[in-house]
Amino acid sequence: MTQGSARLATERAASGAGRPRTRISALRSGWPLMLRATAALAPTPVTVWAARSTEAARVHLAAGAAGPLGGDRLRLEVHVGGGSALVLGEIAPTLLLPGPHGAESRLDVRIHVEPDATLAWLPELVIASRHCRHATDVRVVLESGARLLLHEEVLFGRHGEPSGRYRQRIRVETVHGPLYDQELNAGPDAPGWDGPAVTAGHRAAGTVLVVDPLPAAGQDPGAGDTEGGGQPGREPHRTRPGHAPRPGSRTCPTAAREPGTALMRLSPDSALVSALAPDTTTLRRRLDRAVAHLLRPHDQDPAAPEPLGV
Amino acid sequence: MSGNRSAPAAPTAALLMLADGRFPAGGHAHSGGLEAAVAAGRVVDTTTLEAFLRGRAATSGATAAAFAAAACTAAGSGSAKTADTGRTAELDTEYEARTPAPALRAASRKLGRQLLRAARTIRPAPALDALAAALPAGPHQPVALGTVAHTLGLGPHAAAAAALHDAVTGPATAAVRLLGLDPFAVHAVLARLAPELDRLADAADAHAAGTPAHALAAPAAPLLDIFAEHHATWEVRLFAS
Repeated sequence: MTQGSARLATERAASGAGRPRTRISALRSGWPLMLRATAALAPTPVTVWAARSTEAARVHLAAGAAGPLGGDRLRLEVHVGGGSALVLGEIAPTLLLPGPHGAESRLDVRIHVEPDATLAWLPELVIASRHCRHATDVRVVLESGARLLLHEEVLFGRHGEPSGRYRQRIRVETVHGPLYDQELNAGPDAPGWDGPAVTAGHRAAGTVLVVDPLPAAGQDPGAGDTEGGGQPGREPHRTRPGHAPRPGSRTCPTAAREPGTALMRLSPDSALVSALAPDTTTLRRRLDRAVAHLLRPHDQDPAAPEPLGV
Repeated sequence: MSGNRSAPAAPTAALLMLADGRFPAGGHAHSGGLEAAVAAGRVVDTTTLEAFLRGRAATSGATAAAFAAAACTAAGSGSAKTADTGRTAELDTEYEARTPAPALRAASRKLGRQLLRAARTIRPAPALDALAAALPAGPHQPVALGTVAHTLGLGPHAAAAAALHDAVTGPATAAVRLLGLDPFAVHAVLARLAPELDRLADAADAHAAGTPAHALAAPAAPLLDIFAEHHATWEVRLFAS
């Protein structure tokens, strides 16, 4: 049994002229959760989005050991300081394995994003191998103006094997209250999990959650936007839980036409992409396509029918 | 045998009325995602229907049960005349966070409004007025169900049981209409599900009082969300959701 706790924090670096930068103020690995500051790679839509107003720090998480194995207790704390930006990636997929005594392995992730800060968290695939017993619990707190992109993918069992017991809860809170709270349950303890209401036997599932209270640079809020049409000067979270959703703020037809994928607006400034696929390559393609649609700068594609402004 | 007549029995008639599909709250217009599942070829017979209902009960059914039970308890707390609307509004917000699909959010609020309207006519009560005032856009269906259950003298376990009953009988009835399945075979499926529904109602009841709203169950059903969003774009459909 392994207990590891890692902590990562960033802050906005004092800058004279030029673009503000992000400084890594804490980088404490806790075996087997190893954190490494890494150099920027080729830009992707996500890294461009993350660095919109501040140069983003790049950190990768690497596993120092196999697993998690049953019985492991792992904890990752991420604190993104006001006005800073962080892209947190992962080196390799995670293979969840059973432990010697059948105990549950746990990964607790606590994320705090301060005002006007940005976090893109891009963990690699999680594979729930046969007989594993694992719970991941992700809690995110977003302060005013904070931006978030949270990606997750799971494969239910390696090739030719049934899925182990897998639970993953993700909860995101903003200054307006809870935005998103879902727990995916798979494996022998979850009735009907592979049936036609939950995954229909798809081997891979994933989501991307995007919260972005600021309109993209150069975007005219509401212009040609069927979602926000007629409401200039939109405020973040205009549709508060408990109040009627705005007409038209229902679906993204482009993504809705994609099989096994839905793009769901959670509030005027946040959206969820949810996808199921027979394999991880198809899953990644479905998620990436929807995310590119979400993140594309408005002025690059003026003919697009449903700019989302997220 | 006459039994022990001095022990008060749990109210039964009110629960049967509330859970009855003929209760005029508009539930018959919704298939709970089954219409889309049938169109996608995912539900074709009683075997696939049973798998669908099992998954639906354990996910959206369990969530609805947890929130109906908690709302029932909240409606019974506070002062004698008014419900604890702060807790009720918090439950509504938490339920929304557990319902990412806009089409399902809209359907739930519509059903909640319809249930509240029906109940205020059938059995007016201060708790119902308080709920309508606290959530002017309409409560989510489980929050309305729990509050209405309280005003009918029911407890959180009954509210959870009604929510779970609704979660499976709606799609089961729709399956008979959409697939022409044998009603006896469909009810055999429902009978097999009964122990699981009771287990889920027990779990919801156990968290109805002491559990903070944010810690209530949040089981996800990705395919129901995806089905709902696709279904909402159809031009012709038999069911509203």
